[in-house]
Amino acid sequence: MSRILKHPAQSVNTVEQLPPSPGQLARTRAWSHRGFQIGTGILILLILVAIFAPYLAPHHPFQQSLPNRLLPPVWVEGGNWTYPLGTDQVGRDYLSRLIYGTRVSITIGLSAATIGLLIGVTLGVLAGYFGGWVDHAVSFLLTTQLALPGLLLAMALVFFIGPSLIVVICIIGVLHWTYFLVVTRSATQHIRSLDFVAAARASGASSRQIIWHEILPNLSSKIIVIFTFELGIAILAEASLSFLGVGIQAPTPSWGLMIAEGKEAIFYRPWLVVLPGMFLFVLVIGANLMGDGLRDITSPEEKS
Amino acid sequence: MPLLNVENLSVRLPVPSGWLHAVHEMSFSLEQGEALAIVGESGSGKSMTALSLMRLLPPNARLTADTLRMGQDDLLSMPDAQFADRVQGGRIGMIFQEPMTSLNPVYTIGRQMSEAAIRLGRLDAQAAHRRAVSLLDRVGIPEPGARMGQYPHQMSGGQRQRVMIAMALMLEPELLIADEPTTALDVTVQAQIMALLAELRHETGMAMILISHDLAVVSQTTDRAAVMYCGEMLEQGRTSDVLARARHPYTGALLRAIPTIDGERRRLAAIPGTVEAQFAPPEACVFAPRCAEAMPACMHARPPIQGPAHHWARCVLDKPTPPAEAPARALFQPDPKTADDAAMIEARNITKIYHLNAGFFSPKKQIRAVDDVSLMVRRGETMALVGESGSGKSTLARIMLGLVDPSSGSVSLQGQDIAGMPDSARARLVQPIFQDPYSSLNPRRTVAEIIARPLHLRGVGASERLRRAREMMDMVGLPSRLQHSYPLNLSGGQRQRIAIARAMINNPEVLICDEPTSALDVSVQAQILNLLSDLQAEFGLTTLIITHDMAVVHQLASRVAVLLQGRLVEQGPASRVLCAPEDAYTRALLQAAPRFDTAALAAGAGA
Repeated sequence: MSRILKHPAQSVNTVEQLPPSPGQLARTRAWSHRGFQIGTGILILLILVAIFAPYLAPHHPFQQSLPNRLLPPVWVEGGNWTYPLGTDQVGRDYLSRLIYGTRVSITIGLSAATIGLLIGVTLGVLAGYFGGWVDHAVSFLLTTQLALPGLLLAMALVFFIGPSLIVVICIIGVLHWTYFLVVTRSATQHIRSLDFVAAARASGASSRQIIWHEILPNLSSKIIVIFTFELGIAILAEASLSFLGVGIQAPTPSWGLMIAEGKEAIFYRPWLVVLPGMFLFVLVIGANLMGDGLRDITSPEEKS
Repeated sequence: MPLLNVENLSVRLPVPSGWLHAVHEMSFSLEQGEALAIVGESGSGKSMTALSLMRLLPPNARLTADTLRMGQDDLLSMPDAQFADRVQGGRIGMIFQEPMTSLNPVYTIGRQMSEAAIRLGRLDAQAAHRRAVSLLDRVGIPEPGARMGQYPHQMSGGQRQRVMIAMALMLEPELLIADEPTTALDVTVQAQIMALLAELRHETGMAMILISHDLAVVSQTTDRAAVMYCGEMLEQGRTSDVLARARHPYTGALLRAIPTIDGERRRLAAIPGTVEAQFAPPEACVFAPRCAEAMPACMHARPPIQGPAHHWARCVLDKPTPPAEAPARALFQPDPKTADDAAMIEARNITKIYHLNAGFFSPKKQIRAVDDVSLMVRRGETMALVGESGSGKSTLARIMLGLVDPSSGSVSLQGQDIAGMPDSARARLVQPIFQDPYSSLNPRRTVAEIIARPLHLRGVGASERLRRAREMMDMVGLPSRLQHSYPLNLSGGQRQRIAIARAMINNPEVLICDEPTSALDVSVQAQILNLLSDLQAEFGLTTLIITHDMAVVHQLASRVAVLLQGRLVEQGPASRVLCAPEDAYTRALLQAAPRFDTAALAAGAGA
């Protein structure tokens, strides 16, 4: 071995500093990506609001005050600082209900997107890795899912099972895995054909070891990006279900439910609809900006 | 007046860490009808030079030059619209490296060929069609009339490159730029394309700039050669002078690093180190860090241009470096006595049939990738498996590695059937080295993790794994500071060393190398070939090398098997097959392989 040690290639140039790792490069890009910073900022802020809701809310969200029904926000004629954003039809403080609504939206968004991730990534990796009949079966499942009218199915399921937070989370999660599946399946098919997978097999690695060690690390950035997009979609799905009366049930403060309750007065008291709509809009925009940013940061070559 | 005159052309590209100086103050001129070769390894700036002449640089690249004239026209100040009308395609034609992607797949050959001529108003539709047909005929496309209505996917790679050449000739350019026109093609096709280009040049009297990394290709087809390294032109002169009496140490080193197809086998003189990117205008000799003859003066100032105008070099030494000489150390030759007769790995009657199902209702197609091949490699021997693309050589390699199951036949390792062997036992006996070092390493793992992964799979502890990984890195010539870097930051040669280290950590008996150097530069190829032959000497490895390059065969192998369309056509000792091939296909392969005609070169240089 000593002879080989004296190989001329030993005397390679000495660069003292190690070149940056993929992670470091991504961090550098994150620092200069405005959209990612804004989106992440919004999301972190709203998560903090959800966690500290009891300290931030001026009133209890369920506390009714019938003399103070349908008060307008402070900047409208007749509003006052006791109820900064006014009150609803039974005199509950609107700001407090909006703050508590953040909890519902974020809980459902994160949990449902996680369920979707688990289903979609599992099926996608299996279909992409094994191919053959597994792929046919999963593809059939995918086409079936895509052919079903999602909202209608969700309504029917909630109607039969009965509404509760857990049920709504599970149903939204079970209906939102297709995007995860499509992306991870084609990415796995590509990675599987690369030589490092063949090298791992030649080293005696089992399929399970290859999937965990070689394939999943290369999918992680894609999965995180889809997760943030699905987060926004799941939040909107909850709002839609609640608006239609088959999601979160009163008196729990959910933005979709608040929009539904306010819609009868939309022409006279527009803030009842506009305010929860704005909160919803800001949260979803935050999630999407973060997802867009993550895509640019983790795979700059796919930026379009 | 020269046809093309370029003075002090520089190209800079913005990269995250600053400006990359891709080309630096490069000057050359080209006479009417002359052929100039621009030679260099990857990263030398040769393609950037070609793209800047055609205004095809990336949009954010910066180009500066003192002079860039074509005949009377100043190409620097010409507006884009005028340039597109008069120069692009019209006066300068270009053919690219990758014929599979340089034609638009949704238009017919005929439309793509006649489009430019019609748009520029040079020819009407009928005349353009007639000219296209006659050009297709000229470049050797059979049934050119019928081909006009076909789409690119209906043609082979070689045919597409012929179409590209015909397309470039449609507007009768005065200058043809060929950017690695044959790199993506098989050897036999490569020879045909180069011969075609030479013929066409004599017929039409057009000038040519041939960009290539292959000195042998250049030696046969060009009048003058320019050698580039790191964006700097290091040497320029008549091709025969440059190759026979190189003035610059880099050219000399490059020539010595190339394996030859005949003559005595010698250890290749690899150039140590790798090409480094230039982030500042050079203030020293760019080759000095890797140069064997570097002296303090090389580091302090950019060396002057020395030598007569017809053959100069940018070097402090003003003397021709001696032509290739045999380096001191002889090459390891497996001792025929230690190579005993016992078969180490043996393939018996291997057939592999792939089924293509085009759809549910169409009949299934069968492709016989490997057809009844029997192959035996003895202990300690190096066997070369030669074939062109589509010959089934890679499929056969994967079958012998146990990664693909054959349709029929069996593979045995030390007499044991590979099909019944547990994966871990097989891994200790046979290991692969793949062609593309960019896809054979997991981009999300560090170098040490990649190398030690086989041990991890066997449950070896973390500290022991790291120790062994360092040992392997040492053995293959990787500095240990790289252990925590990711493959992303490494060069092709370094990556291939990692792949070799990962295979060697298993302590295998057999290495199966699938085109181990075809993705690498010449100087790096020499490093890897030397490393492989060192490892063989050190560990008595049995090696099966799959390659299309006859010079690599000559360099490493003791026996050769030739594969054509899934069948073995010839098998025998390397010395016999390379000198006196029995099969017609082997003869064709050997004839097509580009080689230096050293005697003719010397005569030309003397004249």
